[in-house]
Amino acid sequence: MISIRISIRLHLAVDDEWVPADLVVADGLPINADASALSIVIDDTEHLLGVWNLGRVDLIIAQADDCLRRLRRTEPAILRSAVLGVLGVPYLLFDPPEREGESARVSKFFITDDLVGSWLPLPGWGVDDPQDLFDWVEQHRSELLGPAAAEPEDGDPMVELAVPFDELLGQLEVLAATGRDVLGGDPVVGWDD
Amino acid sequence: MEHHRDSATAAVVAAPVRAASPVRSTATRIQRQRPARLAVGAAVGASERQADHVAADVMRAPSTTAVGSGVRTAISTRIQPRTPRSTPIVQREMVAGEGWKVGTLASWTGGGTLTYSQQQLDKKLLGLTDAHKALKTKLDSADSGLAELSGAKPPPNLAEAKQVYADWDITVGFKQADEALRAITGAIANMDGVSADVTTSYTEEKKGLTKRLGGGITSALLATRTPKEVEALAGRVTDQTLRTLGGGGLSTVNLTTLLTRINTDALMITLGPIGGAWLFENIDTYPLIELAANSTHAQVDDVTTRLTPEVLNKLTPALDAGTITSSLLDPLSAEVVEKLLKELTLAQIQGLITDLGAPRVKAMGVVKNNGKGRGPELNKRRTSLKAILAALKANADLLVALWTELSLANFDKIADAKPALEVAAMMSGIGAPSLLKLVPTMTQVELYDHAARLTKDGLKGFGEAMSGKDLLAVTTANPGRDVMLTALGTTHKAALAAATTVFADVATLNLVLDRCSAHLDVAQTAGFLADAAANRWKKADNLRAFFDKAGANIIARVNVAKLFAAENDGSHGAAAGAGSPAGAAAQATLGGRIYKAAIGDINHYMAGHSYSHFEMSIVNATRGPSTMWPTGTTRGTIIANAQTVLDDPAFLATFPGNAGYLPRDIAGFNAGVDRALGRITQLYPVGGTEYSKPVMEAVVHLFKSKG
Repeated sequence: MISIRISIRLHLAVDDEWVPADLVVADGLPINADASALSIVIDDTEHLLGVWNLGRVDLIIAQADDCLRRLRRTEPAILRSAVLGVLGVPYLLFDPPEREGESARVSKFFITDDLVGSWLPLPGWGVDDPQDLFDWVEQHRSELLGPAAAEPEDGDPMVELAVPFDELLGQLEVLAATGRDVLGGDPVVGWDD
Repeated sequence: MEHHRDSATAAVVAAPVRAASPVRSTATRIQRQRPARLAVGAAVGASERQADHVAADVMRAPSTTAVGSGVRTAISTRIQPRTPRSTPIVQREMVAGEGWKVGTLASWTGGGTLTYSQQQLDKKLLGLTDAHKALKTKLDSADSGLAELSGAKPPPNLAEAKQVYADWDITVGFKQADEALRAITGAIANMDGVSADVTTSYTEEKKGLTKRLGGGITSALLATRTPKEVEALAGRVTDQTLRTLGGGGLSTVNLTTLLTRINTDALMITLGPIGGAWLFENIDTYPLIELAANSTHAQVDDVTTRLTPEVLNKLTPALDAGTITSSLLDPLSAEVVEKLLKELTLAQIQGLITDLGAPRVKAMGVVKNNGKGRGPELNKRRTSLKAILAALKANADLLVALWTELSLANFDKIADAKPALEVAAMMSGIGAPSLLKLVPTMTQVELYDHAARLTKDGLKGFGEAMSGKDLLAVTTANPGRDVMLTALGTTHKAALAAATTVFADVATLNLVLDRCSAHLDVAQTAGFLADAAANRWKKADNLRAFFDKAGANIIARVNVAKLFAAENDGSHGAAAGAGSPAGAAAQATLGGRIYKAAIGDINHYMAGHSYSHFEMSIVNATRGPSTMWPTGTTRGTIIANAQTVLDDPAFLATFPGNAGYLPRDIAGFNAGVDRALGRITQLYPVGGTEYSKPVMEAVVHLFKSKG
């Protein structure tokens, strides 16, 4: 049975090592707050972990919160690498089920456009209105999830991988909660809902 | 045991019984004197003669004129007492260990009247003392004589005389003097019979030895030894050996010299393993004679004790004992001399000492598995050694190290295969530490094959990193690898040698060779090895990660890494800068608000985008593509560029708003502005060289392999 499990790994401040977030919380380990990695295990295949440093923990958690909100409204959700000022970083796309009872889908894509490639789905983070990003992605969906996504440079294709919607929501909730434990509260970045 | 005797002693010991050893002088009660040499049965010396005379005199006088005591009281005897003198005579008492002592008349006589003159008293009591001493002298002499015999038993009279001596070894009062004197003089008389018995036994034992060993050797031996010692000597080397020694052509002079200059232990060492027959056959040139004739007895004793007869026989025709000691034994030790002589002539050893110095020759002498009786083989090795030695004079330490550590079999692997000059060159090139590791587990053919293929330098590197067994595993376990290794050894020796000195173990070398041979040709592999050596890329786990990330793009990745390596030692985290990280490195006031590039921001740019300070961590490499400032860009240039961005008239229009983050191109740079903070938090040149995340991952792994 297909399943999804999402967890966040954190980068220790003193060693070039990734450790599970619960270990950081339990042991009070000092971390590099500008680095994070997500492990997304879908159907026993692990994606992202050890391949991409997704940047600032607070921005990842803030985006996870936003993804939850949008998915609960059955709207597509996007989570961009929180590494700022760098193009060519991964975006995760979460598509809600088209119909009740169907699976949600998880994809990864890269934006090569110099301007849009720096946008996060958070107001003020590269773009003042995140809807501009969603609109642009929708317009370029076939291109983004086309051959380039099927054979990405990082060798880790993720194109519309079906996952149980409830599990997806549950895992994002766990991610957000874990992130708050690590941060000691809500992420400081703000947005207009 | 006494070893040597002077001529005076020799004259004395020619008498039937040798002198006694010194006796105890402090424990006896009656004062003793040190016994002189004394022939048993005859009075020798003034003191003894006096003692005998006095004893006889004293025995006669009192025993015929009075019984029991020389003191007569006025009331107890029938003899009419004399009239007491008006002046008391001096009273004396014989005290143990002290002789006469002044006492009181009352304590000595019990109040009686003296009937003897002072002269009579002195004579009586002094005679008693001398008699006691004389008895002791005879007892000691008898004991000494008996001790020198092997089979004689003490006569019963000896024990009785000893008892008398002991009984009267007490303080004797005047009243006991006559009784004591009778007992002691009787014991002295008995001792004459004891001495005669001892003399008889000595004569009989001498006859027995003469019959067994011959007159010459017996007389010679008895001149310096007791019969018991000669008996023991015969028991150790056999009667026949001594008979041969004494009767087989050895001149009296030589025999005397031999026996008087060499101590018994040395003689035993010499004679023991050889036996009389050999000694007889070689007697005229026997080394001991040579040594004895030209050396002091101390020197002879030294070398005969330390060296075996075989070794002595090799050395003594040319060297005297003093020279042997000073030139060989002291610097080399007897053990080393003996070992070397099994393979080398004396002249060769001396040549080695001249060429190498004694300490090195000593080290060479400590050869493991030193063979014995391997004539042709040893000759061959000796020849090799000699030739190699000649070629290796400038590097004798190497030879010594090899000679010391390697078994002969392993030494043969090196030495017997090639001309000496070639061997010497190879040994010098590879060095002792590597050879010592490689040779024991390689055949001779393998050794020379690898030396030719990998070069001496290369083999040196291998040897420092691995054993010969491991090296063979490298060259034989994987055909492709072996082909690559062979090709490298042929055409790129320096690179191979350099790399093999860097990699820590055979597994790492195998890894590199396998991965390179899968994607690169020989020249490219040599290039990688040279780069690895130059940059000390050596840790296996990180190299493996590098190859995994690089795939077939090894050279391309290495080329990128070299750009970084030219400016960056891989140790940088966030680039350091002077002052507070939040302090402005560049700033401008725009629209009434201060915008700046903080020192920490500059550091951040450099850690992510400069060759010189790129943070060589996986977390940095996996953020995404890295766009670089040009090589050689300095911190000052970057700060100036930040100021350029701030000063650009389009700055405010490009980054409107007071919240969030916005990256845009401005003034030729990609500038990311944290609008809430008013800081340029990201800056790198538009059109700068961009390296993808996989490229930088490979580069970082390569840097992390540095050790």
